[in-house]
Formats: sequence, structure tokens, C-alpha cells
Amino acid sequence: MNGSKSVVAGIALTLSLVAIALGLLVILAPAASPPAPPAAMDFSLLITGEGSIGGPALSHLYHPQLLVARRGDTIRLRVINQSFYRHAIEVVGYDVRTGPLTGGEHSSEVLTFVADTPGIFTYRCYLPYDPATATCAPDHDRMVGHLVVIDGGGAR
Amino acid sequence: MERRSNGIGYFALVVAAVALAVGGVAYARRATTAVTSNPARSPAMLKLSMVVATFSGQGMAAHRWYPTMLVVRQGDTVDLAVGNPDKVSHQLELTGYNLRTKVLTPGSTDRLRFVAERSGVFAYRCILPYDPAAGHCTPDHDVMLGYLIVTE
Repeated sequence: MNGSKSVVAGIALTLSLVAIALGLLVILAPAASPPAPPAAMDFSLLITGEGSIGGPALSHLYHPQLLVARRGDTIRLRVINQSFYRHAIEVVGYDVRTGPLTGGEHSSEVLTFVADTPGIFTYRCYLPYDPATATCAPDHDRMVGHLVVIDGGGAR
Repeated sequence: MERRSNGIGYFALVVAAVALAVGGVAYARRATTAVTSNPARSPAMLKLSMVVATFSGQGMAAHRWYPTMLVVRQGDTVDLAVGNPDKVSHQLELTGYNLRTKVLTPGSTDRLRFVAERSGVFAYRCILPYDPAAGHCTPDHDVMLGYLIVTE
């Protein structure tokens, strides 16, 4: 009787081990096709008041107006103010911002952050238009660009 | 006592069998969803164009690849026309794919055609170092940088 008991226990143990192995296979399966590794991306974000793509001389724009990264990528964003006004940029949702950037050659600042949250995020000037201090411009509300952080398929 | 523990043994056997069945179903599902979640989408043929864009202001001329971002899917075919309306020469290289245009003299264009077989992030940059005597590139050579993202 003892013999048949240990046979049953042995079968149960074997089946359990197979079940555990299958479970682990399911859990670990995504690792079988490794995603492309996270990358570091150096962007330069230009605030410009005029230019070949700038349109009317008094409009302001960001170049580029669209940034794309994969979740997990590291972004080094150099913001350069080439316009005649004071601007300062924030990436809403990532809580990163530059200090006020006065126009001219050396008015740049680097924001470094990891794109760990997928979604669409706005970057904008957070200094309201104030002609007395040459801060921003009448088209302040339209100085927006977007950072798209894509999920899945890329770095994880 | 003997009978009772034997009953526990059979109970364990049934539990193990159920666990095996559940594991097997989960595994089979996983295998099929893995195939169907990467659907047999047809690769796209993308005709894109890129130029050297110049932005001026505050006595400072900035040069950038326009656009600065390209996003395609793995397997897509990219037909990229690159133009240089600038007054000096530039040359585009797509690192990782080992592709480069000819030297783009002012007003000239070239074409890169490739299949985006590898996923990841690939930088494209100007590879003509700044040389005012030769009319090559500009002082902001290092920031003539853009990225191709190939999604899986």
C-alpha cells in the first residue's frame, strides 16, 4: 500500500513540476525576443523667431515641434533660445524646466531625463508675455510642441 | 489512516493535473497570442524627404536636419530624398544602417533607399566636418543631429 502511495505522490510531483515549468515559460517568454535596448538621445530644441520655416517674422516656433522617444530612453534636451525675447521651457508631465533663457548665442540649457512614462506631453514656454521686460511674445499660447513617448515594441 | 493519506495523495494528483492543464492552456494561448499580436501587417513603402533647414536670429545661424525625427516600423521600406538648399556642403550619414548620401553641394539632392530591418534608435548626422575654406558645413556641425526610430 505504501508503494502505490509513493507512486501517486511521484506522479503528482512530476505533474506539478511540469506545470511550474510551463508557468515559468509563459512568464519568461517575452525575454525570449529581447527588445532593442534603451538609447540616449541628444536633441537640440531651438526657439526661433524667424527662419526659412518660421513664417512671419513675429511668430515663434520650436524646432523640432515633435520629439519621439521610446519608454526607457534617456533624453538630453538642449534648449537654445535664438529669438529676441526671454523664454523658458517646461515639459508638462515630466516636471522638467529650464530657467529663463535670454536670447543670444549662449542662452542654452540642457534638460536630462528618462522617458519612463508613455504618453503625449506638451512642452511650452512658461513665462507669460510681458512686453515691458521683453519676455516671450504675443504668440505665447501657440509656442507648444509635443514629446511622444511610445510604449511597447521598443525599450522597456 | 492508510486510506485517508492515500486519499490526500489522489487529491494532490488531481490538483497537479489541474495545474498542468491550466499551465498548458496558458502556454498554448501565449504561443498563439504571440503570433497574432504581431499581426501580418503589410510593410509600408515610405517616401520621405529631408532638407537642411537654416534658422537665423540674434546674429546666430542654426542648421538642422528637417525633420529631426523619423519613425517607421520594422520591415518598412524607406525612400528618403535628401536635399541641401544651404549655401555650404553637407553630407548625411545614417549610423547603424551604414548609409550615407554623396556630398551634398549647395542645391543638390541625393536619395537613400533601404529596408528598416533592425529595430532601435539610429542617429543621423552630418559627416562633413566644418571647414570654411572648403565650404563644408557650419560651426554648429555637431548639432546637425536627428534620429530614426524603428519600432518592432
